[in-house]
Amino acid sequence: MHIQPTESELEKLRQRLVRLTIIIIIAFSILIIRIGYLQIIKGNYYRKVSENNRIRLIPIAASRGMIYDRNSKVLAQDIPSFDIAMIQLGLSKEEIARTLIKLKRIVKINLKEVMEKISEKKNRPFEPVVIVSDVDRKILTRVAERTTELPGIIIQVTPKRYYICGPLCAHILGYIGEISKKELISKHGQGYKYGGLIGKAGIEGYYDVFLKGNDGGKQIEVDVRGRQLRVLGDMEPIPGNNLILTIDSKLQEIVNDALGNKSGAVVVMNPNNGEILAMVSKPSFDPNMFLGHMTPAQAKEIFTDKRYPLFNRAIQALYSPGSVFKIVVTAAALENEIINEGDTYSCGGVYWLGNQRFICFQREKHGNVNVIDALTHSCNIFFYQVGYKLGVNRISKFAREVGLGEKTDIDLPAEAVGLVPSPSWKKKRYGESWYSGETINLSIGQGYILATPLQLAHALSTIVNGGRVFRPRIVKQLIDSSGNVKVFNPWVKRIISLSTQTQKVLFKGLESVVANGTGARAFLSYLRVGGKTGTVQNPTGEDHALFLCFAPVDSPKVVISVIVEHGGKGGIEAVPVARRILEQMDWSIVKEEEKESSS
Amino acid sequence: MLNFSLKRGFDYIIFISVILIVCIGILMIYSATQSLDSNVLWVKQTIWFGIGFLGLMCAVLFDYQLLGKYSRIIYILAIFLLVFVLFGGPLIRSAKSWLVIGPFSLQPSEFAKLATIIILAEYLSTKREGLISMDEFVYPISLVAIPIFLILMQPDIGTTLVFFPVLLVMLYITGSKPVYLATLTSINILILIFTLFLSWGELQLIHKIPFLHFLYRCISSFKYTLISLICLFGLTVGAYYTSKLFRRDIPFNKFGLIFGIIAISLIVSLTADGFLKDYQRKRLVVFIDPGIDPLNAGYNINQSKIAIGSGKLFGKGIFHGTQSQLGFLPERQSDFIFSVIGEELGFTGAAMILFLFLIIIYRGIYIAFSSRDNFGCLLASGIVTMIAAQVFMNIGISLGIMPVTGLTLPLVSYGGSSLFITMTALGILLNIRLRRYLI
Repeated sequence: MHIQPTESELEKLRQRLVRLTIIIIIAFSILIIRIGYLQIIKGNYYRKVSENNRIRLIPIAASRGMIYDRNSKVLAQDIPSFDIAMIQLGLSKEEIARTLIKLKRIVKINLKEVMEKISEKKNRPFEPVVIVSDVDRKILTRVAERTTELPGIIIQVTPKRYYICGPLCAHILGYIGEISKKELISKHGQGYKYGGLIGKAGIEGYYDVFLKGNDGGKQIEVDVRGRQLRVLGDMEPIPGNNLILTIDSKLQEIVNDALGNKSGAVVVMNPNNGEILAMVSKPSFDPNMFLGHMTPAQAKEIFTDKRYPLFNRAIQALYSPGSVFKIVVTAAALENEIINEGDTYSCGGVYWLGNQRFICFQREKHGNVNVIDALTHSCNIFFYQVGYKLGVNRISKFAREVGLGEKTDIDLPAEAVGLVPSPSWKKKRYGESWYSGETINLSIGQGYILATPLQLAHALSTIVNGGRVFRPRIVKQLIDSSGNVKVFNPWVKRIISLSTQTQKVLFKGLESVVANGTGARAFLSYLRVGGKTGTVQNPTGEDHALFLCFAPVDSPKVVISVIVEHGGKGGIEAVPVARRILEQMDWSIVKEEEKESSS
Repeated sequence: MLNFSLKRGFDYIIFISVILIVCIGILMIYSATQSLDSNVLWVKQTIWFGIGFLGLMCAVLFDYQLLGKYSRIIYILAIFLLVFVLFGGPLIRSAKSWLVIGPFSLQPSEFAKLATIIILAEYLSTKREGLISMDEFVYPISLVAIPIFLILMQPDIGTTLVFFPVLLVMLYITGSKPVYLATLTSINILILIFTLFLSWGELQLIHKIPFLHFLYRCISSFKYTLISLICLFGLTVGAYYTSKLFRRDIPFNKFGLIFGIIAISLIVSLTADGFLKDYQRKRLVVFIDPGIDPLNAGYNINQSKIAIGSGKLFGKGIFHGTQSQLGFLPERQSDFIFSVIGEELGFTGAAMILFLFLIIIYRGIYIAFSSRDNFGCLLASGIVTMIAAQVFMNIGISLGIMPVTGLTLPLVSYGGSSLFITMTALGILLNIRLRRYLI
């Protein structure tokens, strides 16, 4: 039934089979060449890719250093916060959607937003995408119980910065936030990573390098779902340094209450070592808002608030010091022996310089006044004459010496420089020569002159401590992770000559301000306080009230600079703030310091 | 029944190669699945190896001529099973490819491959020196078209692709005219191209390029295709008369043939496209456009290439392939088993497997040549082509030089039906060798 092939047919068959063999061998050669290409030529590349496939570097964030006040009360610390995240590796879009729908029953999420967020990270599927951050424990346990039903969902712990006293120390401590591209470039090589956190303001910003510590990492082997199989390598993170501030949080609270709801700033410092004991700027903000659930509306509100809550008025706001500057003029005049304690000038309420008319404070006529009376009643006419005699150059030279018109170099970022005008400055700035009328204005702290509340406190400190220009400090000690303490000692930038006679007259005058004059509302029967009120002319609204004082007069231990925005003329609202601080403050914080610095 | 001369004719080389390949396969399945919760696949494969061995021995024992005698019954049984599985089979992984009997699940498509080869060999063996008339040509094509159509309905592209080279080779061995073979080949290739193109268009991926978009619209439905074909026919007639104008004496048949080839491939592609599921389309299209879905369709291919490439010369060692052990490699015990071999055994292991297959193929072709009759010759070459084509396509997929269609590596991949049928087919091959002197 089957046909037997003939010889010629057999030969043809042989040929065909040989061709078939050749085709198959060619096909297999293609395979072998391809295998060789992948395994031998590109072998190293693919080996690396396969390693990257299975090995993940899990960064372990170093805990950020804690910040304490001078009494070791915690002001800022890291607390664990729990995030619900998803690793999408090996999951299809449908599976992810199903998981999210299940998750939605437990915790509120915006499905569309989350899906978008996840698909954005599609090319790095093994990296967890945070779906909900900072979840409370109740929800957390419910999610944890259901992880088997929620493929891809993981719970990760991340440290979250927490500022215990909220708005109270906001401007001092600042806040942290995700590092920006600009910061990343400027801080290149200092261990910052994309997506990491960085101090943005205050202590957090200024001491970021010390606070941040060094992140560690864990090299782990994972399976296709990103589940950890074993640890291959481990590098412990090094926690950041803890900081102890010079701030007394109790005093800070007193100051905060004293200032109430008014806009303004208060600086309380120790004139004998430059320590800042309290620094309040109002309105304030809650720095906790910057980490966690800040809605776009909240962000918009805080960044566009016309009252500028993020602005640290104590060191960033510039005010013309007004009558408070008379302290500097008086000291300069006494030091240059332009006036003596007994010298009197007459005040008729008006002062004429050529055809320019300058009036006295509240148009009063003080009659013949000496320096004490002039300070007590803030007599402008007296200072016009003294200032005119003294001349602009000597005023500005002395003002610079006591620290105005330059950065105080406090350990906080973004400090304003301020301005002490002089003829050469005006020439440079405006190309005009100096008018003597401007000297008259300068002698009562008006015109071009600008200073921050801190600079004013700093200047008075220099005058009351006998001429030592300290660098104001807000950090007292730095404690590293192994417990080594680094103490920041008082740092005298320079010493200016200031005779005891000058001090004596000035103190007498300033004490009289509080005892009998414009600062009477700060009078305390048991405490000798010296101070000077001031009015900051405000072209856009009611004048700001200023009060600069120190106490006790016989051995000054504290200098307070108060500014209350729209607080009325002559320091009406600023003086009671200082009084309340002096009344309520715990004096041991400055006494104890004295012992320390003397030893 | 087996006398001395028979024993001498037993091809130990093929036999040992088969045993070696299957053992390597079981080892690789064991390695690939040891991280899974239920590590029993290698045991199942070993049992199937035993059953396959019985199948091989049975296929050796009786005279293979019996197969020719019962070829129609075998073929009809296979077609019946294919129809049955479409209606009675369970839906497993969104395909109706399996018949579940107790603990075993069988793939009728595997059986259909062998049955088709047998009936083709039986039919073609009666033709001396090629096929002359058109109906002699249409009959074998229909024999192949029926199972292809039924398997496509499951849907299972990979298995259907094996039929084309088998048919081509068997026609070639019979001695068909080169024109017929060329026509068939071009139709095959065009069907592939059109199917890919249709899938591509279906997934809305070509609409950025106006020309391609226009082409897609022209063939996107039967109605449009009909209009397009009429236009094309007009063009063909036009081309014919233009050639006359230039006094070239080309018969109209040649133009008609080209038109026919395009028309048939288009209609087949459109039919095939109707059966495809979106995920299958994606897997096809990802071959031309790997960027479309790097996490799903493109993922398999990428991970497979990484696995093979990272094996380098000597591999990462058995049980130490990170791609396979950690689950990055999909389908690693079945369709992508070669990637596991490449990763864990390296170039040496991969080349060794290929070499073992080449031995079987080479010996198989030799058996075809030395067989005592046309039937044996065609049967042997059909079986050899089936194995060679499947090896080439499966490894080609793993290496990223073929679109992912879903195809097992014979003797190696996990899968009872595939192993059993391949071993039985090899038994038939041994049988042909054994009885070459018996007349």
